[in-house]
Amino acid sequence: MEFYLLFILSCFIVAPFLPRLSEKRRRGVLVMLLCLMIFLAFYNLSGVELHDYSVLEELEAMGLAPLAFTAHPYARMAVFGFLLVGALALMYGLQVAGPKEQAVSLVAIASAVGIALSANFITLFLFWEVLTFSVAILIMLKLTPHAVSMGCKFLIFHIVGGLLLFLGIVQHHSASGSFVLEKPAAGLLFFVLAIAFKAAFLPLHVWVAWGYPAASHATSVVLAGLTTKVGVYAVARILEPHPAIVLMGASMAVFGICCALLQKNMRGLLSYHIISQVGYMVAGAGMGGYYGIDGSLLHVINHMLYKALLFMSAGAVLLTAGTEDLHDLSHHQGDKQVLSLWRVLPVAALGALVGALSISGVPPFNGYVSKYLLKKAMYGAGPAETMLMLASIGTVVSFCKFCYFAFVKGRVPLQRGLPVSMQAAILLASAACVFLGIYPHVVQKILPYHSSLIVYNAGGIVSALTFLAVGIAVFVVLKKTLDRGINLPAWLSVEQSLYQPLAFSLKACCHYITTFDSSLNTAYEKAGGTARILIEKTELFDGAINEAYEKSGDLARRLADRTEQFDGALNEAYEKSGKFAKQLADGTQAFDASLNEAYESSGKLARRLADKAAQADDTLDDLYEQSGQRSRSLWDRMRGRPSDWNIRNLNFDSFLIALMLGLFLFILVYFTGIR
Amino acid sequence: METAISFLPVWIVMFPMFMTLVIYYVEQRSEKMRNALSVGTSVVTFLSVLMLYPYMMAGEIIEYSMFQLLPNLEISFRVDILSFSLALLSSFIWMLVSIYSIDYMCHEHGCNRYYPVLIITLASCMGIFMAGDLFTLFVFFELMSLISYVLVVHEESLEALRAGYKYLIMTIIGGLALFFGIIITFELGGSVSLGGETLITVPSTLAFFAFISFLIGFGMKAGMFPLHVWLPDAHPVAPSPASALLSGIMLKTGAYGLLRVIFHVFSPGLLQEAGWMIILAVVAIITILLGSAVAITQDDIKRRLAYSSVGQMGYILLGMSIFTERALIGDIFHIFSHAFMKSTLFLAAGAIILKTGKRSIRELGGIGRLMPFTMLAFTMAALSMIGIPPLSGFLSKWTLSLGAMDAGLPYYVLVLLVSSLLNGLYYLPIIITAFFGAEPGHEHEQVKISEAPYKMLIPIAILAVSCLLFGLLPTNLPFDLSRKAADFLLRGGF
Repeated sequence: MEFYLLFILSCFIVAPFLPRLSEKRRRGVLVMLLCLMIFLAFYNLSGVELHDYSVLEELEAMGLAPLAFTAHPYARMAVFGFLLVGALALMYGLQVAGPKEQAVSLVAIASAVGIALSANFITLFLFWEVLTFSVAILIMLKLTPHAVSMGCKFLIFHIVGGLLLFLGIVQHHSASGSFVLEKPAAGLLFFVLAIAFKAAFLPLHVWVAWGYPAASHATSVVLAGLTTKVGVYAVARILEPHPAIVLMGASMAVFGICCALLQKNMRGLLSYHIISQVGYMVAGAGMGGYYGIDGSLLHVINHMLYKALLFMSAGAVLLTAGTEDLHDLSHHQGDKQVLSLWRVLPVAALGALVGALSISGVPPFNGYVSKYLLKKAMYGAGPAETMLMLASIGTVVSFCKFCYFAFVKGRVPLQRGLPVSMQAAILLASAACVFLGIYPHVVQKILPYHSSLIVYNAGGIVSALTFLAVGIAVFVVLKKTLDRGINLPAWLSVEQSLYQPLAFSLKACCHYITTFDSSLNTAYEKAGGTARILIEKTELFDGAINEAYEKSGDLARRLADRTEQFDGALNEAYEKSGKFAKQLADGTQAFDASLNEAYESSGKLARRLADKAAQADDTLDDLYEQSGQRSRSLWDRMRGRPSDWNIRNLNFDSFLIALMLGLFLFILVYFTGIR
Repeated sequence: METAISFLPVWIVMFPMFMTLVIYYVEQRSEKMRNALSVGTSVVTFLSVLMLYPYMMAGEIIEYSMFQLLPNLEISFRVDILSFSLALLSSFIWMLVSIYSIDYMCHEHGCNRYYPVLIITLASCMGIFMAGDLFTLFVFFELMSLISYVLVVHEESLEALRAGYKYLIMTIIGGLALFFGIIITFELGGSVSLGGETLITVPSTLAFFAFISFLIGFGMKAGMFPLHVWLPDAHPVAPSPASALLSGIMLKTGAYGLLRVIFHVFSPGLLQEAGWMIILAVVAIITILLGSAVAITQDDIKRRLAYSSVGQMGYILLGMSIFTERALIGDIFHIFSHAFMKSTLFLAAGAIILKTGKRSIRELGGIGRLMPFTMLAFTMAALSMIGIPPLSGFLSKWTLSLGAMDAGLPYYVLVLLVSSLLNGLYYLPIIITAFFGAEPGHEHEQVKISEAPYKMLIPIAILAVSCLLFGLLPTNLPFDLSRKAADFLLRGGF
């Protein structure tokens, strides 16, 4: 197990530095890793026991689980496939892929292996997301606007899937209290949906046709192997077998074929075939049972091999001929002397032929073996069985189309030769397809249920050849129609009828919320405006009060004027009465003088009386003075000493208050300085 | 020694405050000295906070009462594990931001205003986190709110002044609400100290008013719906380092205040019994969805980040409305991880704006190839925001989700995930255009855009690496602190 983890780790460590290495060194490193992958694939094949392994035990304390790895029987199959096909794909791209593409491919392969080996949901989720991002980057690395937008769509799709998985895991954990990878205890719906995204269940399959044809020819080989197969592995590993899954698989198989027949683009056709073939695997995994699981997982490996092979051939055509449009290839206007593609690209044509025969399930190629097992598993599954048979015939038809239009009818001048590494990869993959077909027992040891792989019996071979014959017959009949191409109305496409409205409604929703947000803002501003109006009204009211005061002031002044007039009149009246009073006074004076005389005589008598009284007064004065002195000394004592008022008695509290006040003043000064 | 440690909180608050004056004095003479002093002050503050680490880990609580204004109303400091966590986080980010500011602000006007304000805001922020009672908290809260106005309007453009005005009005409303809440608490509890007994023990109409007032006061700061309107205006117009602080740290003071209110003024039991938490939960859910949805429609990169902050603060508010231990751990950890993520994002966006002068996302095509390190940091933080393992955002979202499930609230998890998807929808286009988009043609201007200077890159890099390290690293200091703080709040807080 440590070897495998070391491989994953080394991929993650090497990847960031890969683009910085020189061409030669980079290839050296890649070849080393490639050898390591092939070694690990076969080491796994030997059936040697792999121990469980876990790192970062401390995560347990953080409410997570340690990164744990285990070699589940299903995982061994998947790991074998991922490593073998990963190695072939890397070899294919050794000379033509960009350094960044190679680096990200490494990460993608490593994370697929990580998913297969993970023992708990945390580890699974971690690698799941890494795979999503690395695949998206692989698509986008072509850097054309089309590839980038497709990659972006792909990414958003898979982020939704990842979040659903997150939700499922959280529910499972709260129900079961453990993160160990097992059949979910709760949140089954979310697991199904999450896996549906990865395994391209209908109608979530659209990303396959978005992503794979858009990627560059070297990386689409890596892609063809990884994402959907991880989904199939997850179906087998996490979901319970269920008839609905079987039906889904069967309809994927049929639907994929139908769409593939309509495709004009080589890799587009292959992409829909992925959906179709994944349908077989999903159906097998959904059936469960020995044959179902074994057949499904074996089909994963076989399919990865031949699909990688087919993508390699298509990539070779794209690289050398500059186009992958079947119509362009077969209707090339120009020099009639140009030979058919199968003559100028024999290796690619051979690869395409082997791949086509394999995918059609013709003995003795590897597709036959796994399809035989699947057929056995599906026996008696009702409509699904029939659908898969139909799909088999459709596969033959569409691959006749693929080979015929591209390699037999295809006549285009080549722009460049086929690099050695690509040829080698194609040949190796073809050899592997044939080898696994003739001698499937090499994987016997790692088959989870050790189903018998003695598959070559008369019944199987006859039925396979019948499908082939029927398929070729149908193709001959339909050749003209397929050549012209069938154009279905746009609204029939799932993307147009389902996802565009969905995206549109999401966008509309966001815009609606934005409008709501800005209306909230406006509401606040209006409230502010209303407050201002209110304040203005208050000002008016204030003005009115002021006016009222002024008016009352006027009134008061007028009142005062009146009062003054009244006062003048009064004054006059007084003056008049004054004269009269003088006359009266003169009369009185005369009377007074006579009276004075009378008083003087009586005055003498009074003085004598006064002398007596003065004597008595002196004694009283002395008495008052004495009591005054006594009260003054008391007052003195009551007054405080001035020396008590001292700065020392100002305490620390007052100082701090002053400091705070100063601080606020400082802020105030700042504010005033802003504008 | 014992007294020296208990004086440390006062030192942490007063030292930057004092240094503000020094910087103000020095900056008239030398710009270099000013920059050095600003960085030095923030570094010393960070180290001082760090000195508390052994005491905090031993579970000690440091209290220091400065003086009494009125009976039962005093300026006091109190440091427990929650205060320490946030103070450590804030001073750490402040340190990085002040280093970043040196190169960012050298092209800007008004640096002599910027640096003292930066430092005094640090002081008031430390004051908020280390306040021992509601009154002290209020004083520093108002100080920080008012002073950060200067940071908001730094550009002095019409837009900035408008946003600043709105910010100021909202701040004042929030401050008044907070004041009202404190008055009621004082009336009901007879004290505003945060350390002792739960202040309000009986649900009553008056207590409900207090709760709503606190919700308005702190929620305003935390960008809670419907009081978030100032945030998307104010954060983008500020200079980028200031936006990083506003979004990364100052929003968290609101969350911190609410945590204190929930666990110390009221008690979880009381709030659950009275059913008031449902208000916070509903408002938080609206905040999450609204912030995330509106962010999608924004074209200005900083405005998009600001709306993202609204959504992320919603997570934090939602987390504190669930009283399970894991939810609370996730909540406090999200304060950490959001601080790291959002400051990375704002600083990286600042570097891009500084180098290219472009704020519109559509114009950022190919920027990832010209400024690979900045964009790499941006990508890391953005992926963390979406919740991709093994980044820190994943861990916080994960823990929050598990906490919500513990409380039997799977719908909360659904909300979190919908918002994560929306996060993906508004962050991924930025990253994809930056790395894979076509560069806009430079027919007229052949300006070579180069990578940001290293003094800006280093803080960005440290923060981005923090997003990664604090994800699935086994010895995870922020997670330990969050766990201890949650434990403290739930068991030893009252």
